[in-house]
Amino acid sequence: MIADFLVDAKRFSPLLLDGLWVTLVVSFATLICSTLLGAFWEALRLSGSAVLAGVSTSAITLIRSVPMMVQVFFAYFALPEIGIDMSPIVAGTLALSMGHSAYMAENFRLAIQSIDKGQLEAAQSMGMSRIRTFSRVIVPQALKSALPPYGNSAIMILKDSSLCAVITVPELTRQAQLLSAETFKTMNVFTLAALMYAAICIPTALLVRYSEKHLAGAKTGRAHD
Amino acid sequence: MIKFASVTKSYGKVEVLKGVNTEFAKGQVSCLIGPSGSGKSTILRCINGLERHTTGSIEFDGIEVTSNPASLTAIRKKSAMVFQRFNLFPHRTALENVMEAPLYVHGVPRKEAEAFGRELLDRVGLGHRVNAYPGTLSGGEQQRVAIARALAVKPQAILFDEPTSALDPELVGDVLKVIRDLASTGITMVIVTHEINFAKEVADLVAFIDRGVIVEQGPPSDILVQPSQPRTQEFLHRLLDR
Repeated sequence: MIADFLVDAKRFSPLLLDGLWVTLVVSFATLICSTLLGAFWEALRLSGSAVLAGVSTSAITLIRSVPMMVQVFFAYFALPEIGIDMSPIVAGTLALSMGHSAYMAENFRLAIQSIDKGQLEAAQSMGMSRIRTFSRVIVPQALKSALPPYGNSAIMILKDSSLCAVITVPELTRQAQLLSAETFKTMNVFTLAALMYAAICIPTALLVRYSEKHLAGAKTGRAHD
Repeated sequence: MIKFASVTKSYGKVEVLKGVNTEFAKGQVSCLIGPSGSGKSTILRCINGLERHTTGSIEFDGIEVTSNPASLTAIRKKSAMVFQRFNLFPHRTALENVMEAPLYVHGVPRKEAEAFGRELLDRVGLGHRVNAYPGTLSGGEQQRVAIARALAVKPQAILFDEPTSALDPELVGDVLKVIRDLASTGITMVIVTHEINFAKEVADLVAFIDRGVIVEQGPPSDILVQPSQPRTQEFLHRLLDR
């Protein structure tokens, strides 16, 4: 049985690795886009305008209450009806970015809210401008507390990229489906696919944990004199 | 220098300041004492607009404290605050903390800001810790960095909000010494404190605050030695009986 698996592993790996490559491209693009969009939602919330903050909160609530799969279907099958026609990979990336932007915004919001109120008061009492306060006091400290949830989001994105299989993006899950349909070696094919996902996710999780510790050290700080 | 006229402050229906009238003169050290919850910190925080007073007027060096951002910024640039919990920026070294406002609020050239920053840290006894992060400093050291940070902008007045209340007893002395040294330089200071003996020694004016009003104020030799009001007498008794 193990010998059989190893033979299949050799045989199926090239196709599955092609899929893994697409998975990584979709995930990375989604990570970037959802980060930017999430930061945009958070910027609206902090803008000081009640209207913009309301728009941000409503958008986040709406996005979070629609299943990711529905958003993927919507981007690929529904948007063409109003003339927005995208390739599967673009539609998938866009839908995942939209879906995860809500969680990104929440990550950022919690990180900012975790900063001690005294930090803001110290900056205010100096007469520091809002923008400087944000960039020099809030953001550097928020980054640290945002990192663990951000890493979790990255892992969720990687796993959610498998949803793109349903709109024929040739990523890992899709390749595995096609292979198993062709060869009926379902157990071996999906074991391989699972191992490939884990091979990416586990090091990512470890990296997050490592950098978390490293940053915690930088915050408490060591005197370098 | 700092004038209060009929200042009130309410949080919803709760009135925490009920008509405060006073003046903190230029070059003088004024100490605000009173039980916790009396409103003494609120008075201090109204001066630089960290809290907004509800009615009445507050003036800082001729500038009215309003919600107008320009006048608030003007006041904040001319003043500095030292907090009970230090509020140093944890991601910056002692020296960077001290240089922050000169560099990023006042536009002082970096070289000049750094030289002055080192001099100030030296003056508060931390010349050897310039590159230390706040997390590696004791409470007393952090508060001395915070005082150096306040001095870095050459403020017209420094507002101290219970600067020794969060410190271990053995560290209080170092911080009080630094503030005492400052007092003799003639800078205007308003200090909210529980340290009665310290107030007796450094203050030009002591104001006793209770339940949102200034019960009495005057030189420490009057207020702290022979107070005329029963509430002040009772408060001092309770403190000294500990």
